[in-house]
Amino acid sequence: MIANDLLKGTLRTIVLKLLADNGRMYGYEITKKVEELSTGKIKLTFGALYPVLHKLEADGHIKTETEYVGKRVRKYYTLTETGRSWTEQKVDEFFDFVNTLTYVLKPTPA
Amino acid sequence: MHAEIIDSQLVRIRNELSASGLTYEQLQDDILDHICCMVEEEMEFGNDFESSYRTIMTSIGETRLSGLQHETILLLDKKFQRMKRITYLVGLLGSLTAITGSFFKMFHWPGASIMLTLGFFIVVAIFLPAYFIMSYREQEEKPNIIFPIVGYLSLFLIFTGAVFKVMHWPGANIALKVSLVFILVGFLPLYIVQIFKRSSQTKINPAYIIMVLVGLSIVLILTRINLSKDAIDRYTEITLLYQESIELLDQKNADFLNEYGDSLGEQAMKIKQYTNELCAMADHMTEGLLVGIDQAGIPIEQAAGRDFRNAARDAFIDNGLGDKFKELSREYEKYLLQIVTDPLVKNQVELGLMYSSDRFIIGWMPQDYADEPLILSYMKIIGLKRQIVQVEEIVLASLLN
Repeated sequence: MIANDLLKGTLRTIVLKLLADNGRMYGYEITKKVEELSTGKIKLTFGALYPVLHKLEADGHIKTETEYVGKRVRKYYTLTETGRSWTEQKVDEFFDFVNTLTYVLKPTPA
Repeated sequence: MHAEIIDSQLVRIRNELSASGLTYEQLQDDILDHICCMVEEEMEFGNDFESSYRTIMTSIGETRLSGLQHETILLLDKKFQRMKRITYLVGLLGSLTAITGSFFKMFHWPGASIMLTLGFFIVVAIFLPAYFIMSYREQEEKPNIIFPIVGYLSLFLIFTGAVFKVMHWPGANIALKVSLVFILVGFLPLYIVQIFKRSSQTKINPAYIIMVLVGLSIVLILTRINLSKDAIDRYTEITLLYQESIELLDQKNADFLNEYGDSLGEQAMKIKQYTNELCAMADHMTEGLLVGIDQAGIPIEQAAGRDFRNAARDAFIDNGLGDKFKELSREYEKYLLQIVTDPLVKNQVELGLMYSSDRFIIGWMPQDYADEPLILSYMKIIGLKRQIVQVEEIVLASLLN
């Protein structure tokens, strides 16, 4: 399992990237996908996921489409145009960060 | 077979979500679908709806649902987010103004007091209320209104007391003392109770603890030790020099009276009588100061660092001893000015006993020492005693001619 405080800042990027790769997704699907891709190491709780989704929607980076599954409302989230370019930027930033960290934290050669 | 939740079960889950406080429709739809998916997945393993639903709900924990809604709504509340940013900005502005003000004050540059007061005013009147209102709104369930109020009042009193103290406005010490009571009797117990009551949910906010500790130290510094160790040492040094001077003059005067006392007659007797009485009063006052801190009889260099503000009140203000001492000094001055003729001696008498005047700045005002550190009162009185014996020495010598 990956500790929550490590995930905190990257959750938004993860969600954006998944939406960029998979088109439209609903909440439960996102948590499943993250679990699958991380081979079970990252388990998103909905307590962490939905505030992020709603904030992204309010900021105009993603939009929702509503579909009915029986009587159940299912909301699919997709990236908007601005969200798409923002995602690229965020993902780049993240890799830059990871590379820097790897560089900083890598064991010094003996 | 694919397990699916039937409509009546859906309605039931929705009702239970609403009942647990998750009422915001946008979020409720999301969570409802999410929970249904989880339950259906659980049912795939062959469990019935009831047991699957229970398993899922236990793993979620109901209490977090209303908290989740609260968090989401605040996150979406643009006004609240903006208020948060502005509040921190204003707080920063206020504290920077105050810091600049205290910097100016250190160098005695103009405008220091205005900046200091303005900075603290911004912090106390704008930043702190806004901060406590925000932290109140961010509390998830059963928000506790007493806590932010007590917290605000404590900080309000500390900061106001501190500014008043620096500006020498009246009421500073009272504000600081009351704030100490607020913190010790109100804020800390409330905070500890809160931590124990919901130890699982409340994250301990280190900011509160830091603020409490800083506040306590400010109060302690401002009400107790006004003087640095260095300053106390210097005042003690002066006091010891005065004491040495008094001993030498006493000896000289005694020797003088032994030798010429008889020939000088009544005048010398009267001077000796006045001096003895005034010195006894001065000793009484300095001893009273030491009694006030339960250090009767010990040398001043060992007692100087101890501080007890009320010592001066008990020793010579409230009992009128300081005023009586002044009155007798004035009588003595009048007598001496009658018997001496030499203008230089007259001048020295006037200067030496000038403290007995009731005029501002010229005269010694015992009540001004009510809130001063002990060593300052002690040094002042020893200094006055030294002036008395010195005047005695000068006048006696002049009588011989």
